[in-house]
Amino acid sequence: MPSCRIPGPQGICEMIEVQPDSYQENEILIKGVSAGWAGWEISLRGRIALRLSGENFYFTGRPQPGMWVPPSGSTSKLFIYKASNPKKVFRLDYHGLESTSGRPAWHYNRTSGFAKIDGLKIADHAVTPGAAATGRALTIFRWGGRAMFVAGVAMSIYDVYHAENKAREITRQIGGWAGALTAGRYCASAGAKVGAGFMTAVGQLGPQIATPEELVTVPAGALIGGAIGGVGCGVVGWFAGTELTEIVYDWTFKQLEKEEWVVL
Amino acid sequence: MSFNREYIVIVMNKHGVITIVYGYHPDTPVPEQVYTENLCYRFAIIFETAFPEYNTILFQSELFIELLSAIKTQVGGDSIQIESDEKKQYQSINLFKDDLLKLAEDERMPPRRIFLRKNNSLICFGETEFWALCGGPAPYSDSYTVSFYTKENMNEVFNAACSNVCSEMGAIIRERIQGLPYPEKPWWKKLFTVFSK
Repeated sequence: MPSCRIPGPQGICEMIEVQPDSYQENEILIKGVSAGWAGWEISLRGRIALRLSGENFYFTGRPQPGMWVPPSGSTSKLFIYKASNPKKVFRLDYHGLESTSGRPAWHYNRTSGFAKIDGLKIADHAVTPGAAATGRALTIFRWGGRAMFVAGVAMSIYDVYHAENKAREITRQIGGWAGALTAGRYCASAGAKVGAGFMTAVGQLGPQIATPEELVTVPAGALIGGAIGGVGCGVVGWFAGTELTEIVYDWTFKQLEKEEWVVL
Repeated sequence: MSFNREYIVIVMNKHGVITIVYGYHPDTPVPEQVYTENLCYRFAIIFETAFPEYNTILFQSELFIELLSAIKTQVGGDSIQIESDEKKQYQSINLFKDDLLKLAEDERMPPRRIFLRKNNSLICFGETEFWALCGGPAPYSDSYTVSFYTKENMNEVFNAACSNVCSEMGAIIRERIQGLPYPEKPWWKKLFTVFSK
C-alpha cells in the first residue's frame, strides 16, 4: 500500500487503515489528514500517525474517541496519544497555572507512558517558548481557516444572488468549489511533507535527539505546510474549476443563432 | 458570575493538596443519576496532579482511599460499589485499594463511579471528572475531580471527613469554593421552562 515518508515525497498519500506491522522505527506516516479545506483543516480534524521509540502514537488537534471530554469541551489544542490507549496523552494546553499566578499560558501536560520516548524529559506543566510559539501558530491558523471558509461561502452567495443567469452561476460555483477542494487536498498533503521536512531539517541543526519541541513542531510543521499548500492550490483549483465549468456549461446550453430569412 | 472563595495560604505539600467545591459550576458535567435519582446536592474534591518532584500527572491515590473511607463512614452507607472502568467493579474499598496499589504510582487513576447505598437505596453517587486528560477551566484544570451527589445537603459531613483525613495525613485543603446551588441548565431547557409556564 502506498504511504508517504518524511523527509522526501513519495507520491500521493492514500487514506488507509493504520497497520502496525507496516511501521518502521521513527517513521512519520501522513495518513488520515483530512485535507482539501486547507485553512479550515488546520483545526486538525484528522490525525497523524507517529511511531516513536517503537511505539505507535497519534497526533491530533481534537479530542478523539476514548478520551474523556466534558460537554464544555477541552482547552487542549494538540494531543499526542498512544494508539493503544487514548488516556496516555501528551497535551498542549492553554489556561492559568499556579506557576503563572493564574495567568493563562501555553504549557505541556503529560501522563505516564512517555518517559521511554527518546529525549522526552519534559515535566508536566512545563511552560516553554516552544509551547507558546506552537500554540499561537495553531490559533492563527485555526481561526484564519474558519474565516476563510466563511468568507468564501459568503462570496459565493453574493455572486449567485447578483448573477443574471443564476443556473450558470450556481454551476460555476459548484465547479469552483470542487476544483478548490480537489486541488487543495492533494497540495495540502504535499505541503505537509514539505513543512515537516523543513522542521526536521531545522531540528537537525541542533541536538540529534527528539526534543519535546521537535515532537510537536515536526507534525505541526506538517499541518501548517499542508495549510499553506492547500490554500495555494485551492486558489488555482478554484479558477480552473470555474473556467472549466463555464466552458462546459456554455457549450452544453449554447443558444441557437437566430436565423433571418429574406423572402425574394 | 462570581463565586465565594475562602483562601488558605499554603505551601505545596508532598502529602497531598486538594480543593473543595460546594455546588456546581457552569462547566460541571452533570451525570444522569443526578436527575433520575434526585441527587441534586454536589460536593466535589479536586485532586491536584502537578507536583514538582514528578514529571507526569499524578493521582493522589493514598489520600483518595482515606477520604473515600471516611466519607463512607460519615455518610452512613452500608454498601459500596466502585467502578474503575466499564469492566471492573469492586464491592469494597479494600479490594479496590489492593488492585490500585499494585500499579506504579504514575499509572494509577481514580475510579469512574462510586455508588454508596443504604438499605439498597442509593444515598450518594460519586463520579470522577478526568480534567487531567483534557485541561478544562479553573478551578478544575488538569485535575482529577471526584464529585459526590446526595439527596440532602451534606456539606458539613463531607467537610468534616475531608478536614479530619487531611489533618491526619498532613495534606492541605487549598481552597473551599462555594458554587451554584443547582446545575446550570442548557439554554434550550431554560427556554422550554419559560414557555411551559
